[in-house]
Order: sequence, then C-alpha cells, then structure tokens
Amino acid sequence: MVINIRKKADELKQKGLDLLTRPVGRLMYQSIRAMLEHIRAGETLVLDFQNIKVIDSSFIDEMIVRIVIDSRNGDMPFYVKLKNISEIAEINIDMVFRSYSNYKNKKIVVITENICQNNAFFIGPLSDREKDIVEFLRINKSLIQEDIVKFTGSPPGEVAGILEGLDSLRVIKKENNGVYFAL
Amino acid sequence: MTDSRILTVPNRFKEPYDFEYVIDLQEQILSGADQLDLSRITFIEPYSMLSLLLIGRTYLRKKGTKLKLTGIPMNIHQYLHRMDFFKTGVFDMSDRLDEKMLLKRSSFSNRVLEITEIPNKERESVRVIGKIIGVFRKRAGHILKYWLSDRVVDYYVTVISEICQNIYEHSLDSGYLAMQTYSVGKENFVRLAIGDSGIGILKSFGNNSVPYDSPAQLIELAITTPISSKREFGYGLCQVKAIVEKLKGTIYLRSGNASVSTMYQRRTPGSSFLFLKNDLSNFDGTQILISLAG
Repeated sequence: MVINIRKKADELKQKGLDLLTRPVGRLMYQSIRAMLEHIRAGETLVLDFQNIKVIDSSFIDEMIVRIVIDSRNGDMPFYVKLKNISEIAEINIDMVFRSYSNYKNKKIVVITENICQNNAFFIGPLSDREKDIVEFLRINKSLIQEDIVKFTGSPPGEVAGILEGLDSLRVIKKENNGVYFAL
Repeated sequence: MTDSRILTVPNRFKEPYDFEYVIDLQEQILSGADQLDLSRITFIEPYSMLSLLLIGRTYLRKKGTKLKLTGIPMNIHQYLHRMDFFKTGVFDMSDRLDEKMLLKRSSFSNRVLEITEIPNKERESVRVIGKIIGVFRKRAGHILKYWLSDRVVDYYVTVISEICQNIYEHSLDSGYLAMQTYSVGKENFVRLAIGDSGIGILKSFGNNSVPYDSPAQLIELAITTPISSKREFGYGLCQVKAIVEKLKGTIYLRSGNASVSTMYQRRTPGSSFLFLKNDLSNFDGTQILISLAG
C-alpha cells in the first residue's frame, strides 16, 4: 500500500510545504489509520513524502512513531517504509527515534526507499552489525540464515538472535520457510 | 503627573546580556513609573524589543492601565512601528509619529518577520504557526540572505515550529515572535526572538522528578537532553540546540532568574560552550534568542 502524504495533507487541508505540530500529526495518523483497515498481513506500507519539506518532532511523534509501533502490534502486523524524505525530515526523524529508543529502552527504526545520510537505507539506531545485515539483505533481496552467517563470520546463534531482533523491529521480513526478505 | 514617575531607560537594547540592565529596572517600572522615556536608545534588536513588550504587557495586566512611552528617537520609532510593536496595543502611544515619517513596507519588509502573537491555545496556535512559516518561507531569501540554502531555511522552519509550540504546551500564556536580519559594520546578523511571560521552565517542571542543582542547570538540561515537563520525554529544545550547533549560531535562553547561552561559533575543541547564569533579576516566563552572525 502506498500513501502519498502530500495528497493526504491536501485532503486534510494542510496546504503548506511543511507538516508541523502535534494536532496535524494526530490528524494525519487518524486518516492513515483508517486506511490501514485494508492492509494485508505482512504487506509493506510505503509513506511517500514527495513535496513535503519539513516534518517536525511533534508531527513525527504523533504520526510516524505511532504508525511504526502499530506495525509491530495487533493482529495484523505490517511493515513500514518511508520514501522521498527530505534532509531535515530525516534529521528530525533520526533524533526522535534515538530519543525514543533511549528513553523507552525499546528500539525504533524505519526502512527508507532512498539512501540516507548514514549511507544506508534506514533511519534509527541500529548497531553496525545490524546495519551490515540489513544492507546485505537489501542488496540480495532474500537470504537464509546460513548466508548471513557466512557473510558476518559470526556464530549461528548470534546471527539468529540479530535476525529475530531485526524481524521484530519490522526492518526485515521473515517467511515461514526460514527465508529472510528485504522490505 | 510628576516627573518622578517618568523613568528614563538606559541605552541597553543591543544584546540580551545588555538588556539585563532594563530587566533590573522592572520592579521600579511596575511599582512606580507610568512613563518610560526611551530617548537614550540608539539601537534595539528583536530580543530586547520583545522583552520590552513583555514588560509593557505585565504592566498592563498588573495595573490595568497602559505604560506610556515617550521621547522615542525617530529611527527607533520607525523601526518599532515597522515591526508592529505598537499594534499589540500594550503601550500608551499618545506621541505618534507623523504618517509621512513612517517606514513604508517595501524592500525592508522582506528582511523581517513582524511581531506576531502566539496564542496559548493549541488550535489557534497551530494556525498562527502555519501562517508565520508561510511568511517566513516567502521572505527567507531576504532574511537569510547571507546564509541562504534550502537546508538553512528548513532548519529555521523546524526551529520556529519547535519553540512556538513550547509556548502553548508549557508556558500557560501567550507569547510573541519576531525575526530580523541586519548589519552592523561588516558583520551580518539574523535574529529570531520568541518570548512569553508564562510560568517559566522551573515551574513547568514543578511536579517532575528531574534532578537539578540550580535553575540555570535545569535550563541546560532542557536544551541538552530530551526531558519534558509534560511527557515521558521531549524533543523540541534539544532539536533546536542540535540545529543551532550545526549552523554555528548562538542560543540565549532566559527563564525566571536564570539563563543559559551557547556560543557554537566560538567553540574550540575541549572548551566549554555553555554559559550558565543564576540569580539574575526575576523576569516571568521564557525568552529565547537564536542568532547567526557572519
């Protein structure tokens, strides 16, 4: 499912280039949440921010953080990917995600369609090892655990733990046959 | 009316540190004066202008009458008029300048954001913030002439939004915003000032368990760590600090009787870049100045 945030903002009468403040974030969240009634289990929700410049921390907290948390909970798990994020939006999302992760002691990360300033395709506090695995999977599209063990040189038990963690963060997809997929 | 009730204000409107001399006079103004003589002022920058406005508003709230401003030099009068200072209706301005002497809203208009009131109600405030950002984006090419890039404009949009939201979220009062770019000699400045006379940072954290040694240290924590008086944690001031650090600008944040200033443009490796002050004269609310110089 792809949601064009610019179009959605216009529908919600938010005309400017920027999406700012908590009330606007809440409005956007509620609108997107209503659309998620139709999402299939395991589907990736792409939020396209084309023609949106600034999204501030309040908007991010009320909208993106809640969508990402929702994707992990409930009966219908889904995946989230951000597209066409501006530089400042990326900086603001990263700061919010890092604060959230530190203070809640619960990591929050999101995959992106475009390359970010961390030279990878995600925003949030992943470790170097997690980053390597996510990137390796992105390039290869799908892998089994043994491929990643060979790539990292780490013990299988350790790799299995990292993959489980990344799957529960919804930054990679695990199929029932043991194959891992990039979003 | 006797002369003893006219208080002549010193020429201390050039920097926030300088304006402390005027804040020191606030008790005298609120208790005894009914006129402020501004004849000695040669220059007034946005933070000092907003703080003078807050003094006038506090006076009006406490006394029920407007403080009269007299002896305003023509250039200062023109500037204050241009910044919509008098439109706030806070001061008694019986000595009006002739219409012909007032500055026209032409090229100069593009270099400022006039004084705008930020309401303390969420819905109205969100509307006003949207309006301010709209005007800022239109004028950014002039306001940020010496620093211009899309990135810097976007940084300022974030800063304006974050600080304005703090007013209705935390201060329990309305506030004001103003922005201006100007030159002194060969140096160019852009200044964004936002202030309110609400409960201030200390009272805002009143029921919170954040440990701190002094009011200035609490302000320091508010801008360097994601603490919040309302939620589990907050992002706003921290993000403002991160952006100002990237831009190598300065932050002056004053609340109650304490202040913190950051001077990233002068930061050298290993040196302290945060300057904390306690035991200043009390000035209600929170006032913040973000400056770039170059």
